[in-house]
Amino acid sequence: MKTRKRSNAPIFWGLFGAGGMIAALVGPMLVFITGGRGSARHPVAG
Amino acid sequence: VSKRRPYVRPMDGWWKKNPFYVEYMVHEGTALFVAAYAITLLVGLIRLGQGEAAWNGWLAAMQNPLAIVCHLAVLVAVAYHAFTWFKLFPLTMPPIVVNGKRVEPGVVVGTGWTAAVVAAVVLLGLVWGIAA
Repeated sequence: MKTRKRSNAPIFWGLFGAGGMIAALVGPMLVFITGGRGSARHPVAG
Repeated sequence: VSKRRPYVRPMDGWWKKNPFYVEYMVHEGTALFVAAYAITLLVGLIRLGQGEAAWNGWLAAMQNPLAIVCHLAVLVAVAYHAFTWFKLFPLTMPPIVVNGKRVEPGVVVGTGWTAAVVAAVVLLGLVWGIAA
């Protein structure tokens, strides 16, 4: 049986898409949480 | 050697020739703000690993008025990036077929925006729970 060399392009497109998706889903709220309370007590620092 | 000089269409300023391309490039441009914010968070993580003094120093730097203004600019840019990320879905994703019928572009975009709002509320709730 002949095995064809498969392209590695989908892996890198997948990483690109996953990063974009994470940024789109949680990005705005993450900026709001970490930066929006910059002048107050930091939520992560406790 | 061939003397033929085939015509090659110039691509200079290609994205300015169509309002949709301009909108797309603005979306891609906001990715720079996403990258800047990711680096800021990464620096924070490194400072956390360096001990309490380094971490408190980073927290103090984040309370600088300039840092707060930068965060506001990043918030606007990242929110626009997320908004257009889902708006572009019908063009950037292969068509989704359910029960042999193609899902309408409006439904795909609406689902994406809904997922983003749900994810944002869940994240806020998680952090709220940790901070409480």
